[in-house]
Amino acid sequence: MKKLLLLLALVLGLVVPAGAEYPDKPINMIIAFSAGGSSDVQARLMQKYWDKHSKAKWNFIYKTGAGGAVGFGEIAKARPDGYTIGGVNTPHIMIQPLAQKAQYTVNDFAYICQVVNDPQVVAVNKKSSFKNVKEIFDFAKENPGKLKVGLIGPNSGQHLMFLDVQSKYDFPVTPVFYKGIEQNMALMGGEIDVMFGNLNDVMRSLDQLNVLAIAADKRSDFLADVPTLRESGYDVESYIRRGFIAPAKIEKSKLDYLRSVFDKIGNDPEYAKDMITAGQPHEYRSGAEFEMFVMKENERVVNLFKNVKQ
Amino acid sequence: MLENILQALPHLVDPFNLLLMIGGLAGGIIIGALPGLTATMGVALMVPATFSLDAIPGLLMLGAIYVGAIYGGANAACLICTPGTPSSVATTFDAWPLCQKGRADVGLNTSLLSSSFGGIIGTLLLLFLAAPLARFALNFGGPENLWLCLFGLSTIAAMSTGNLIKGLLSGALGLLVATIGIDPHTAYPRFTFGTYALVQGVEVIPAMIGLFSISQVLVLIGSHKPHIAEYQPTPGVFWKVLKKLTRDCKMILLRSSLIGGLVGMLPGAGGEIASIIAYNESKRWDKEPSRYGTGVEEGVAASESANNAVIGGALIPMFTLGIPGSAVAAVILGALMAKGIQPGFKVFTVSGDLTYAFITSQFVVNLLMIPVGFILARFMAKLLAIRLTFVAIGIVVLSVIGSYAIRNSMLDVGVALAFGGIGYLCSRSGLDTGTMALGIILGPMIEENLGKCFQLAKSEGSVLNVFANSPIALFLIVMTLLSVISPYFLNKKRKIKTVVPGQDMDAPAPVGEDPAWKDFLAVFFTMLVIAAFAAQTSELDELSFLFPLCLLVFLTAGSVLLFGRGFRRMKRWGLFPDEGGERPQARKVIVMAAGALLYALAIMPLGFYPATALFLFGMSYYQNSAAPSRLNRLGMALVVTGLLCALVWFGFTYLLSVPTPASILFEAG
Repeated sequence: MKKLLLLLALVLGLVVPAGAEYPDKPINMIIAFSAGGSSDVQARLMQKYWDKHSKAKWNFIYKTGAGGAVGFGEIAKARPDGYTIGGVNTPHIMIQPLAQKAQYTVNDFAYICQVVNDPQVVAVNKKSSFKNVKEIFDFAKENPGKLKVGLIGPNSGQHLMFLDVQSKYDFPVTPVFYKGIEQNMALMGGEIDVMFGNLNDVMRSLDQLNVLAIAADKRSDFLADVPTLRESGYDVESYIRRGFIAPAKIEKSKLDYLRSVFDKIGNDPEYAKDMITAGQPHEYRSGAEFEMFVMKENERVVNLFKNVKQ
Repeated sequence: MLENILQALPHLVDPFNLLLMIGGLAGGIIIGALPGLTATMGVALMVPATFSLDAIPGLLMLGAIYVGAIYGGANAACLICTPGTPSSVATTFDAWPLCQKGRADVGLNTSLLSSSFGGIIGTLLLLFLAAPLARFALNFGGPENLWLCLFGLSTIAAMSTGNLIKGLLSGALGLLVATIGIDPHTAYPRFTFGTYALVQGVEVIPAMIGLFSISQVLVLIGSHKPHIAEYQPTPGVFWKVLKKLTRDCKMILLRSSLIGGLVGMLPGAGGEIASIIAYNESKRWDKEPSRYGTGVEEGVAASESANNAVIGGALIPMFTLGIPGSAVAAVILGALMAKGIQPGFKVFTVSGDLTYAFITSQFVVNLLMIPVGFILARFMAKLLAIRLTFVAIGIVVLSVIGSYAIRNSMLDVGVALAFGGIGYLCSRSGLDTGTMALGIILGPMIEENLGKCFQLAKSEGSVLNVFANSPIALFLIVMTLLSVISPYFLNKKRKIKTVVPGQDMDAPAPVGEDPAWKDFLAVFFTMLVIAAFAAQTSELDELSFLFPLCLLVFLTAGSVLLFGRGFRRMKRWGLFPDEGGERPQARKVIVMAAGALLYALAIMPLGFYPATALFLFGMSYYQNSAAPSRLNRLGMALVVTGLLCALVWFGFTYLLSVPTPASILFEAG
């Protein structure tokens, strides 16, 4: 009898791998936006470098809809076994629970890292008579409601910037919302006069548009001649950040592994070069930093939204 | 420009590139032909492969897949009345009747040659007129896009001559379905019937898979036919079709291709709208419009040339403005930008060698498509030789995995099945699935652009100012009005022809007019939908509510009118007049529907392949009542199960790495 038990233990010991090394099977990468978009392109660039540091392959799964809320919700509800991670955007994950009855909150995620910091910019058509931001604000004040400002949204980074501006300054304009990149076309075609857009999106139509200011703390390397909003006299900063997350209950050891591999990629100069080639505003931040930022920013966003809703 | 083109030629004769193009074409055609797999998915799946290739070969391959997939949809449209991609909806109108008449080869070859022609015209537009056309496209804003969609929608009126009320009701129902999900203006969830799942809205493609594929499965299984259609291949059909197209269809092909190229240029408007508008215009200017829909090559030519011309059109703003004209163009743009190619008007100079290599490759691809497509079409036509039962069962499996594969959501499978039921109901009650699909496709765009017009109006002061402000908008308004009025005249002409003096007023119901019970069934269904939606409206705020409210009012009015008509018909010809057609085998239909439902439910606990195997085995065994013996039934069931599971695994899991639904219990999907 004892011999049998010993044999069984031996067999089990051989068959069941003792403490299988994580990760030992493909990892699901959930992308909340369509294939071919900025989020997808950036993730694919990372994939190239991930494959150098880890045996586990990424399995891309696109769960689109509701401005990303569907995909983010999937990540929040996924099994926290370390085999499902995904891309995330802020301020989307802060606004969606407030405005859209989303299935998650910012506390449902473990933050792996931040990879992109895409500041908003104020842009006009090349043929526009506005040469700087002050002229825009002056025109708006003198002609309330006449100026048409394009935003992506609602409930997006651009929309948030718009609300921020209106809460701080007198800016009586008519907002017009777009789903995405058609915003550029509307500006180029003259349907709107001004747009608040992403730096990344504006870059691809640069020969048709004039960027008048950037809502960041410092000027961008891509557009060294463009002043910040603060330099132009307006205290507004607005960014869309992209990063990677996992379900909140993931084991600490697995989260540490993911953070360490992503750190290696983020600090790889080759990766940085690829990001610049692809026109992505690359800014790598560790998971812990990203998490701190999200929590702090979340408070600000919640307050801004609450005030607006009154 | 000539030097650029000459410089591009060496890339095209490179054997590796040629291999990529042919492989891309073949793969694209197969993906396009499978209902559920779309061009977008096909191209997106191959984008990672381009990271290891150089920019030019990678781009050439993606372009080939795009062209193949958009053409490929016509194969399924013809053979099983299911648009393989949304762009082929209008192709089903005439290609399927051709198939039923035993002339599937005519349908297949016509779509092949028309697609090739359309693709070449689209590429010519891209090559010579990219810059001016892109600047023209910039003039399409909210109001213009709105009128374009309304124009597309107005084709419903033209398509349903004789049954206008039901056509309009079907379209309105489709529009109503499209309002489920997040409101485009307030971003608040709407009509979700209490479930979060519906916040994602109803995706167009699973709805179409249901409306066309699955409902067709139910119709076919209920019929008494042993095969989908009797196939009588005509020798030398390719040359006959070519002659017919060059002799009779030159104007149609040219006009449809131009429509396709122009519509393709507009972001948001794609192959579905272009092919339907092209089809409708062909019909309108034809000497005998009533023959459209009975199986004429002209209808297929119009639809297929338009949807392939869309490709060239969609690439125009992609290259020149960085704004993709279609979902596939968006994917291609992503791949380009990852390689550091910056879109803009300078793309013809700065990245000139890449751009011209790609454009010239599109010419080559559209020509190569003819032999490649021809061989594949011959192969696919053999499908008609398989017993209908097994084809129907196979389609169900493909529909399930196809709907799942779109965004890895079992909800979409549920949507497909639900719409399968709805589609079957439509076929029994005279409602039209094509117009319903059109409503689902155009609904979001109409509502978005309508809202945008209202937003713009706030700065203009007057709403009217916004709606009819530009020459383009005015032109589209006129076209829409024409579109709505012309079928009324067509109908009058038809009625004049058919009324013979002294005709017996007690004659039996004319063939083609719906009997009363069909009208009542349609009314009943519509009222159910109205009630379900109306119950949900209490929690909406005003702006979200406007568009659905208009639809609900319209539907109610339409139902009342239809009820009146049904009542009149009942008085004249009785509730169930003898139609002379065959009655469907109800038992088979019910079993198939129930089986499909259980199959989908079984996927959650059991996983995809076990559930599929069970479904295939059970259904094949049960539905194969024509088999000679019990043993034969068992054997056939095993063969079908084994073969289809292997094919699906090979194609989806091995080749395409499409994730299959994982079970909750087991790890293996």
